Amino acid sequence: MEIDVRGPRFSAALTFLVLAAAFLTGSAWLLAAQVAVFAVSALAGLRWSPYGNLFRVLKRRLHWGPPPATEAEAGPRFSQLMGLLFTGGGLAAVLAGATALGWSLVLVVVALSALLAATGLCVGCEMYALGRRLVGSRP
Amino acid sequence: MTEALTLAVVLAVVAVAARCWRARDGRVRTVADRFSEAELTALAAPGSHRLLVEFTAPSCPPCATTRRLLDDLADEHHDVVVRAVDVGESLQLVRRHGVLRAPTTFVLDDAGHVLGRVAGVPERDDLARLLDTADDMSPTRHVA
Repeated sequence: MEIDVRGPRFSAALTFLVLAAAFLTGSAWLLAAQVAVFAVSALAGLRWSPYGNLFRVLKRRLHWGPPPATEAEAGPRFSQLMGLLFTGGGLAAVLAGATALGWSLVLVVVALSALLAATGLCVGCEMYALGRRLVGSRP
Repeated sequence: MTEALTLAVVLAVVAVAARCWRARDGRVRTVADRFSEAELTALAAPGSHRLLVEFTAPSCPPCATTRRLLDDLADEHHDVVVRAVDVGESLQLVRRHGVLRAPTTFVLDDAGHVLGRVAGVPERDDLARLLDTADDMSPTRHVA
């Protein structure tokens, strides 16, 4: 499946806002909501991504026009999986009382989503492409 | 308060990382590297012209942008040839030259020496300047 290249950047901006709010308020519920978003996107595919669907609705309503380019969903989906692992681990740690460890894991995702939103650099996607290259299959 | 401060520190680190990324992305770097005769032959471009070698991947929008830019430059420099290398199909080449990203572009002289290397979509002016400088330094230009 091919996706609009603007979608992952939009999703990263929302992810940053949600996780930063969760961190500032110490809300495990807000963190759990983001974990659920990551889980749907990573496990069911970006077609079902809540933020991706919001992006598509806004794109239609606000006439953002056709995508400047498209890309395969594999890289962005892998980065959603990484987000799920980090925030899921963070949520488990917070609920278990290891709050410093939990929020540290969440801050890694906060930093990477801010980087993607601000520059377009998707570290998870780059890791995915590099990993596929190193194991010898097509990215 | 501590949380706000921590978040501010994280954002500062991200800002520095973003700045470093932008400073490197698309910029020509000089590296000591050379493509062997066998590699040049595999690229179907042995001798007599300079090469712009783009390491590319399927479903890579910046790769298509880079290709258009390289084709434009080749149109302006009659002795420059563009070759595309699929990173998934040329793993040996990828590993030998340490290609980590697609697109990555190498500028080679006619003996295979790497004149410059660019990760990401190249800055057009940087690449053009490098090709023009190499033009000035080329002994064959002065013979004519």
